[in-house]
Amino acid sequence: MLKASALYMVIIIALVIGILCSSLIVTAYFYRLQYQKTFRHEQLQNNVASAVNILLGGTDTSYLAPKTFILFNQDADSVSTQRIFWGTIDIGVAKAMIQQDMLYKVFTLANTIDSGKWAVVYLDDNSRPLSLSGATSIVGDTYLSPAGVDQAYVNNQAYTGDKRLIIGVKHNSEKTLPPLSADRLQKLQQLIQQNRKNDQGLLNSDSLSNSFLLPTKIINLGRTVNTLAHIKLSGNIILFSDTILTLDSTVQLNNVIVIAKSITVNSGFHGVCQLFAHDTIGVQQRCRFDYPSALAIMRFDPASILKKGAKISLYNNVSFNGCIFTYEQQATTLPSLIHIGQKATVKGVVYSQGYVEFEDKAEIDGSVFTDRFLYQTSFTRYENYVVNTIINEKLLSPYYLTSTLFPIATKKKKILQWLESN
Amino acid sequence: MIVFGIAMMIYANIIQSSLSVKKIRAQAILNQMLQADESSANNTSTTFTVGDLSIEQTIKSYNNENNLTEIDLTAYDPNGKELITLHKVIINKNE
Repeated sequence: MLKASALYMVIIIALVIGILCSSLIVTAYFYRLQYQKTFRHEQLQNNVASAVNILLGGTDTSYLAPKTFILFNQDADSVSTQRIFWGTIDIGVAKAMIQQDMLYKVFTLANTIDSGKWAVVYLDDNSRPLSLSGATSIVGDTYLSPAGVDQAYVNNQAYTGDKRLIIGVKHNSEKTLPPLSADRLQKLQQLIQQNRKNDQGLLNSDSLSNSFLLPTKIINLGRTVNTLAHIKLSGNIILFSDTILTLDSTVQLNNVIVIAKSITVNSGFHGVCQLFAHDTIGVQQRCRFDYPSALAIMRFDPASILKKGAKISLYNNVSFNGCIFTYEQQATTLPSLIHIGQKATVKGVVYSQGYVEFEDKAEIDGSVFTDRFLYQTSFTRYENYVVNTIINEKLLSPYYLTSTLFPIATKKKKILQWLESN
Repeated sequence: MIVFGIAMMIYANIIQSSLSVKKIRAQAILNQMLQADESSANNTSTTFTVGDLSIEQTIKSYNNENNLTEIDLTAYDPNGKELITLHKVIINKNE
């Protein structure tokens, strides 16, 4: 005879077993769910890496809207790629999607250096020798006029550098500089002359950031002379000014493009940006521009060329990483000038369709392409003289990537910097 | 007993349908191989074994782009059952 409590016992045991089974099912369900999520994530990572490789290695170099396609003709391998023109460099946007999940990577891409076209100094053949004086050092292969290179006694200073004068191979240069990329110049012209529809009220806050996944934010300051101060701008933002724009040291720019008639950067500024001006760019003392920054004077309108010579000035102790260049669509009677001040350092490429002028102890860790060098004292102006200046390609990082704009770029693209990812 | 039997059936079912350690291991191996392939300049289509897994590697040009290569890696268990397949587009190091 069973006890009356046996029924209770059975119910309790059944309940316990039921709970155990349920917990097993739930555990297995969540484990499986988590595994599927991890697997999807790994698959997404492979797919987004594939999309990045397609952007780097593919032949399609157009700047179109995002292009969505299936990677391997299978389920769940949709990716989207987009190349954004961003001044001297390109921005790559790669996305991979599976169901509701999406991984994206935004990065800047630039090109490797063609060692065959690289020159630490490319000086046009203007039938005059390059003259070196003081503690000048030029390390790397050069392209010079057949007149070659000489020592000179300038400003009471004899040449005190290496006896070889140039530590590297000397080649003969052409009458004109190797040209900048016509395609990129055309795109830069479109960028500068684009419709400047203002996104209202953007500068009301002290900080503005815009992802490269979103449309570009345009800030048009118009014709009012402006000083930007106490503001942080980051990402997909283009700042336009039709007149003089001053960037105070309290401004923080991160990968932003600034286009103005003239730009002055106040002493102590620190940032990463591309500054494009029509007339002048003045960078005051102790400013620091991180890689990949750009300073450029670009003139596409022939009417304005005769008015004023283009000039980019880096004053004393400026540290600049990136490229500095001048471009004038038509030759002008007033050549452009890139002035590198005392103890100023440029890591990258300097390309001038006019003069490059160095003050004492200026340093270029990279390459200089110029029509002529200039050295000025209070009384005299010397053409094709380099005095107390270091131009050394060995001091440039071997990982340095350049813009396709310059004649030293190969077609091989690499990731310059990761900007955004999830 | 019936309840216990049902419980055992559920347990067996869960154990059977749960993730195979082999599959997870195969996935890890294939991921590692993809990384190695990406930094290698001499990738060829081949089949080889890692432990008790047989791995088939297929290399082909991606979308007729000279610079891009598609790598397909498939892992099979000792019974020849496909465990997992991974695909990736890499940059051709030879270009």
